[in-house]
Amino acid sequence: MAGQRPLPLFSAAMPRRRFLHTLGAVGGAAVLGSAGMPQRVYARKGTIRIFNNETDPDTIAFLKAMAKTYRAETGVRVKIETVPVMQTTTKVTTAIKAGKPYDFIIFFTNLAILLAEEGQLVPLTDIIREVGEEDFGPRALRLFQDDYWLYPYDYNFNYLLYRKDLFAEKGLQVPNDWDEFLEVLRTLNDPDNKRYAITLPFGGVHTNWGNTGFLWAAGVEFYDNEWNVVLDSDDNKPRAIRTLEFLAEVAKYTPPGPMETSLKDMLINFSSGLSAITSYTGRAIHTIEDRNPELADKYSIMSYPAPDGGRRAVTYGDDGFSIGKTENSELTVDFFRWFLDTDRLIDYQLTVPLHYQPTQFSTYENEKWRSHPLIEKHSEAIETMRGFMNTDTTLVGSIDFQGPRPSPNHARLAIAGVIPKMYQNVLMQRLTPSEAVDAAAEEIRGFTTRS
Amino acid sequence: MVTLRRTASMALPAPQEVFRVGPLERRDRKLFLAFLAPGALLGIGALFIPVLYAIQLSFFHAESFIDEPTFVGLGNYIRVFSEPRYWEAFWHGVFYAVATVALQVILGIGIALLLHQEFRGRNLLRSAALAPYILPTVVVVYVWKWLLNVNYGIFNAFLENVGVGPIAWFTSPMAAWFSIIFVSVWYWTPFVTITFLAALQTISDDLYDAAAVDGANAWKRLIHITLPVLKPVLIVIVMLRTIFMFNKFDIVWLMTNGGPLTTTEHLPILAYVKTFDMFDIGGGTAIATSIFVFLALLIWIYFWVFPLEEH
Repeated sequence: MAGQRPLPLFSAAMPRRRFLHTLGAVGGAAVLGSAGMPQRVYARKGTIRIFNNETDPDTIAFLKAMAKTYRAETGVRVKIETVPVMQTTTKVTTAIKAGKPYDFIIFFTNLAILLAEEGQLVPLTDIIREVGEEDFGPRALRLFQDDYWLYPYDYNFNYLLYRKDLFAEKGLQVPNDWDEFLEVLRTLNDPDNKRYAITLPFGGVHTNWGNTGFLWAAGVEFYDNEWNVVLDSDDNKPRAIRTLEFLAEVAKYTPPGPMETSLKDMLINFSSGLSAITSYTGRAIHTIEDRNPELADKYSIMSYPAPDGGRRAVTYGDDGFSIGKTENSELTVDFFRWFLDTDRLIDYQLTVPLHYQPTQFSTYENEKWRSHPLIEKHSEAIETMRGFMNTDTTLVGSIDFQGPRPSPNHARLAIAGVIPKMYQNVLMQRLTPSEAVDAAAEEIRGFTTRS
Repeated sequence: MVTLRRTASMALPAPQEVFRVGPLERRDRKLFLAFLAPGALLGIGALFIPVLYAIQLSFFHAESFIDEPTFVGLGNYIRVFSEPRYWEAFWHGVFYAVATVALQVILGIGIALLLHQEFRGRNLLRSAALAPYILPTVVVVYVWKWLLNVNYGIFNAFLENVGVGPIAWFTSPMAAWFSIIFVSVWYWTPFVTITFLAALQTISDDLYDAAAVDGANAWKRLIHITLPVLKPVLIVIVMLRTIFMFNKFDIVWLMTNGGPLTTTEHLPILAYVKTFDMFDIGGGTAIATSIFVFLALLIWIYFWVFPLEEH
């Protein structure tokens, strides 16, 4: 290249230091410009922060994909924070206290009502009325201060799953009352061959959901409509004692250590064949499909029988969406409308289709939902689940329905573990059923507030 | 070296010295403060403010962190101290701390003495002895819970094979305490072992040789040489481990949640339950503050009884 003139950029006219300065300035401006531009767009459009306590990998993957789609369509960034369900209250309330409240919250009614009372949520009444209140099943919607604050998407009904092949083998029918139920347990129990009749939790907070169906079926109540504790009233106490005596009998037919049965044990014990009956939701059917597909056509589901027959019960454990009162509220309402209008609610529910039991009657008729392979395959179970929405035959019970209205008392009653402690006092033979009821009532009085 | 502060004994500087040294001192002071500031700010922000906030909350009644607190003075303290559950939890904590610290120290010294001996594969064994300590607590607890599981755990499989039958390790209070203490000791003994091992390595072999020449047997060498050298380390270890174990939340919470019933519930768990489960922010922070005061008092008494000798 001898004889050629060097390019001006590299000539002696521009010293190396000046060249480097120029290069640095141009490079810096380019980097800052490219980084700043989209941020300016997002600052104008905003960022929606979603609190999610559904930890199923498919649900999380769906939410992330949806966030990408929404950003591509509208430019609005959707940021998802997934937290285990047990940390919901702590995380959501401390986020508010720290001045960084969530815009869109996936959680449950009790906390939604508490936040609504504190003025931290936007009412969803308009959206729900547009959809149609009549489309929602019994007890799915809860009015508070004349508004709806949570859009429920999952009933989370706790019911009993049983091995219909073993029932048929032993000539057993679905029990209609507690005597029949105990007879079924006696017949199925075979500890010598490592097969137990039933898995139920008798310890831990999950007992409030996983083993209260018999309490509701027996008509046990904890509060009256003025927040008086009525568990040990003349009317209620005999029912509570009878339930405790019955559960103490049921515990004889569980695998060893019923007081340490976890949610995971409930799934494993049933899907592995260790127990012939367990309580759970459709999550148990997914576990069967994943771990022991041979059982997929050998199970069925039933509600909890009442002591002397009649109306049976399931336990409610709702999940839903709320919108926080934040600077992004309007943006979040738009996002939620988009979520509903584009059928993404159905897609969301289909991430774990047998577990998320729809609260809307219309979903059961939705072609996309109905044609999902797992929904089609387990149509018998789906029909039974849907039957639980018939209030003539099934009582939907829950701690959350005690007393006159949503209140922190429900959360205290649940998280203080009054019910599992009542069971444990009897199982450990520390107290008689009557004394256990008295002790539970006394503890509830200790933390109940009427305000 | 530039001094930042003059001592009173220093002679008054000449005027030109003030002119020369003063600005330098100020510059260095600024530099000193600049280096100090991030750490100090972090300490204040992450430690003092939350502690003061918690202490402040203990004088208020609030049902959630977003609720408007109401001043109740010492009401929360009077209330929690009058609850039998508080004292039950207090004694559970004392039992847990004493049992785990005693076992950790005895086993820690024993293992350290073994690992201090010359033998083949010593370095490998020393590394292996540290293994439990480097695992995350949550992993340790879940692995042990799985091993101890009543229906699927390997321990119970073994017990069934030898005819003892499965034991529900978290169902009876005694079994639950045994499980918690066993896992806590398994997890934390390596820390004690390593600390004592480090102290043992500071003892000159000449001392042992001289004692051996004088006719001291292994026991006498342990009593008269090893343990006196380990005493200052022992004092600090016992104090640190007592504070840690009395405050230990994660292992107990993850293993039993304080159950069955409240038989393994100690004060840190009760404070958590009150604050986050029972929505009694004032009661929970009053318990947390009482733990702080109790441990501060314990440390003061401990160092009064066992003063650390500077030499």
